Amino acid sequence: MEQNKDIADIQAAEATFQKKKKFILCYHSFSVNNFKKASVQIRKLAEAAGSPISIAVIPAFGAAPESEAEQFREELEKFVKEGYEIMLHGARHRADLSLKRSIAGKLALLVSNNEAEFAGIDERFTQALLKRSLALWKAHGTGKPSGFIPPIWFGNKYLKEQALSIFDYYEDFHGIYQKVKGNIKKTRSSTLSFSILPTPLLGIAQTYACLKMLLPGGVHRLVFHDKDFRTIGEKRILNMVRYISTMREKIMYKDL
Amino acid sequence: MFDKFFKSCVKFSICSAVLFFFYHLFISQKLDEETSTNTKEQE
Repeated sequence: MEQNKDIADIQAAEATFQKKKKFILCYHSFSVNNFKKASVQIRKLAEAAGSPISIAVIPAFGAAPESEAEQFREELEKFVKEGYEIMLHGARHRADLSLKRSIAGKLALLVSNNEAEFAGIDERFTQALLKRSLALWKAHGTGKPSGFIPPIWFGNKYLKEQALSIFDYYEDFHGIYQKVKGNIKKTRSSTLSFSILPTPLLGIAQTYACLKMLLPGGVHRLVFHDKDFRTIGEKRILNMVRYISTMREKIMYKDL
Repeated sequence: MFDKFFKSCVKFSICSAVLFFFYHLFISQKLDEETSTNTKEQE
């Protein structure tokens, strides 16, 4: 009996130690084009994690019919009411190729198959695109997003400051940023995403993600896209979320 | 001195690779296993 109590105490202490480590689970690129399928995937991820997760939303309607846009709005509203956290994920995600970009920006477009919308653009266009993104979001009428995530995490030297003047959080590939008493505070965080990796590397990437979560340090971001459910498979994704949830506490950006 | 450092690096790399391989086997098994909720649903 006494031995059982000791084991329970040890297990409780281990659980407390492990829960000190935190991670963010975020579904990326929820948009008017994929919201029906994505909503089901998001709810499954949340169920596996045990609580609502963060969702990075692309606010552009594109050429979607009004009925679809209305359903998309309703779905977003439902998520907000259920406690999910909304992050803004660019204006349309896909880059406008007519904009002038730096060499780094052009390289980013090459790597990302023209998806890095904010990569290497100048201050004026960054401001305009951010405003457009927010205006598109406001058209949905569902409160203010917690933060801004640039598509493919490629930004430019002006984006962080500008985004933090509007939103509470901004992130790039290496960390999450927030404004605290006028200063920018960085939280060390690795991006564990699978969507741009070639299929043969996916197994290794999943092991790397689990290992990263097992080791101490950082508030890492585990990111899933619609594509991952086809390439990795739903069962492996949900098992990964369950496994990581035993090692780290899942939080949202607003809990940082 | 450099030779000793180089050998240590090689040993460390090999040990890391072996450990990573075993962890990879463990994770692959873990991610492929059926969960209790799935089993219940299937039943």
